[in-house]
Formats: sequence, C-alpha cells, structure tokens
Amino acid sequence: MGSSVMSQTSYTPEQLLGRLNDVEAKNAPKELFVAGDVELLRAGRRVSVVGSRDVSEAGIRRARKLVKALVAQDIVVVSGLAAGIDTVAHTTAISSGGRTVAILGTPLDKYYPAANKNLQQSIMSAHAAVSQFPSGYPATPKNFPMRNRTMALLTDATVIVEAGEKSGTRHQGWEALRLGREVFILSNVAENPDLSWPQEMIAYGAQVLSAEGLEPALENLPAYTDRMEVDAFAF
Amino acid sequence: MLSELPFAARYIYSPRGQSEVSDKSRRIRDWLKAAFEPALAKMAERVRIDVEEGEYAEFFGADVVLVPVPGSTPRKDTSTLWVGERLCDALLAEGLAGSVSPYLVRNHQVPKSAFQARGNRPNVKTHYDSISASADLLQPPRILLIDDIVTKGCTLLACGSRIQETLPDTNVKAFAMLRTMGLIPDVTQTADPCVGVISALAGDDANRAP
Repeated sequence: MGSSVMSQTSYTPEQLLGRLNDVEAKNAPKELFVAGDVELLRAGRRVSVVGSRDVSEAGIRRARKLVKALVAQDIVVVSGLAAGIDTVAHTTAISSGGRTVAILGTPLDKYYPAANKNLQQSIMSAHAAVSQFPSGYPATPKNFPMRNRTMALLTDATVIVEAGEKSGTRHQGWEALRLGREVFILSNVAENPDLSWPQEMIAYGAQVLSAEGLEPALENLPAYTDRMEVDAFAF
Repeated sequence: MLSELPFAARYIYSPRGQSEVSDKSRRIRDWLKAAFEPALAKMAERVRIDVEEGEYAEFFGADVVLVPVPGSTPRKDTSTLWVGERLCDALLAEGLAGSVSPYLVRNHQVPKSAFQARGNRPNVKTHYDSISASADLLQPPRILLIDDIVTKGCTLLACGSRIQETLPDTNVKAFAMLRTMGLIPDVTQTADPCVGVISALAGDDANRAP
C-alpha cells in the first residue's frame, strides 16, 4: 500500500477513491502522502469547510455551527489547516468529538502557518493529514489552488463559509462543480452584493445554504467518494 | 407537450429508509451520481443481461440513439461531468444501442430536485423551458433518453417533448437506471426492473407508473 517514509504513507488517488473517471483524473495528483488514519479518506462522507483567512466573528460562529452539524451527522470535516475558517473547522471538529482531515498546501513535514504546528501534529496523530507535495517540495503560491482542487476531489461536498471577491476558495468551488460534487455557499456569502462570483457559481449548480436548510442538506448528502466496496457489491 | 412517455428502469432506491437494503440502494444512487465507472459498467452489464432475458428489450437495439438527459444546471465547459453521458457510454459499451448523441442541452439552471421540498420541485414546463435541442441529428427511427434517476418523470417528459417536436417521426422512450421509492419507508431489494409510463398531469406535473 505505497511506500512508507517516516510516519507518512503514499497512495495513489485510486487507492483511496477507486478508479477515477477522466473528469476526476484531469486535475488529480499522481500521489498523496498521508499521515494518520487513512480510513478517514476511504469510508463515510467527507465535507470540505473552506473560507477566508481573515474571518469575522460572525464567520467563526457560522463555521462552528456548521461543523457541529457535520459531526452530528458523522461526517468527516475536511479543511486546509490555514488560519481563519480552516483552523476553526479543524478545532471545532476535534472539540466536538468528530473526525477531521487536513489537506495541506505544503509537504507534511512543513508547518504552515507556524502557529498551527501543534494542531497539525495533533491531526496527524489522531485524525489524518494529506499532502500531494513530497518532502522538500518548495512552498509557492501555486500550491494552494492545486491543494484546493485535491480537496474537492477527496470530498463529497464543499461548503464556502466566508470568502471575498478574490478568495482562493473560489478555485475549490469551481473544481467541485466540475467534478459533479455538491457546492454549498452560506446564504450570507451568496447574498453579499459586493461579491460577483456566488451568483455565477449558483447558476452552474452551487446551492445556497441557510441555517434552516442545513440539516436536510446534510441528511441528503450523497457519499460520492465512498467507493471501496464496489468489487464486492451485488449489483 | 407529450401526454405520455414510455419508460423503463432497473434499480429502485429509498431516499430515507433505514434498512440495510435501503442503505445499499443509496450506494447505487451515490455511485451513479458520481459517475463511478466500475459501478456504471456493472450496472450496464446487468441491463444487458436483463435485455437478453427479454426485460425491456423493446427499448434497446442497434437502431437506437441514446440521448443523455441534461443535468439541472448548464455545463460550464465540456470538462464538466455529465452523468447521463457517462451512463450512455456504459450502455453503448454493452452493445445496447447504435450510438450516443448529446442532442439536448440545459440552457439555464433549474432547482435541484434532491434539495427541494416536494412542492418546490421544478415542473415539466420549467424543465421544458430550460432545455433545447442543440445538435443536428438526422431523424433516427428510435431515441432512448437516458437519465440516472427518475422521480416523478418531469424532466424526462420535458426532454421527450423537446425531441418529439423537433423529430416528430422518431419513436421516443426513456430509461432511468434508478427510480425513487420515496413513498414507502424501505425497499426490500435494489433491483426491480420495470416498464411503465410517465403521464402528464394538470398543472404541468407528471406521474410515473410504476
């Protein structure tokens, strides 16, 4: 099952998701380095919680409420370990007794941001952290949109909690729509008149998620990426 | 607008049933909607075996053009997943038809039925107004509309009507891999091949039987 380097193990995306269709294969990394419980990437439902690094108090409250609802549905909370929404997503998942996966824009042996070193180590030991970048791979800005596309691939849905007009989270939303995954935009973002991209994304399939719509949306969420039982399945 | 459209389907699923079989039925739904190729290939193989055993055999054949049903939103570009097209490819690979034609396009978004309350789901006219026939297609003798999931049949009836108005001499039928069983709490099996009719109802609604 891949080559083990220290506490990392490498997998192909197919080893986690089964055979990819060509839409999925287009932007999929060749290899994924995983530290922690790889089963979090193989079974059950996973939802990405993404948003700005500079997050408002209201954004923090909304992210916490969302993550608690995900944990209550036994859904794995996936985020990018950045400052802001990502950090709130991971820490809330852990404190609520849920499971979380961090998809990094740096190799697993780097800590970025440095302030999240303890959180990253905690996730690698008790949950799971994933990177498509091998040790020694340089950290450049282009890593992060690549990481976001990988996060879209590995999850059943993406929820955009708070994001500006030029936010990198847009990359993930568009990639998730391209892959046929669900994209939810919290209503405060969707209805923000200063933003142009939410309405465009909604026209191509993103759903507006209100507080009242959260529970039914999560109950009906398909498990697109839970596929490892297919060979034994009686069709 | 068509008043009736013959349809066939192979699998059934329970949206909310708690039994193990209902859960299995949702795995089929999820793999379908993800266009997970190993699953599509196995489902298509089962359809081919059904046809060889005489089940909905009149729906398939070498003279049939498979037409994928558009999703609920337009595709941003051709690299965007289109589940109906992938399903057509899987059925074609089993030798169940002569060709695939992406004849219909969705021009603007309609609400996704799966996330709408029963009364808010798009009706036949809403679907009809958002779909057009795009490509040139010589009048084939038979077209089979292909969709992943049929609920009441509003989308299929709208698509069938679009085709019938542009290709009036073509025989149009529909096939969905999965049909919903939302009114019963649980299903007791996942495979339940059927042939039936989608009928237009008053108020631009539709009814599927069975």
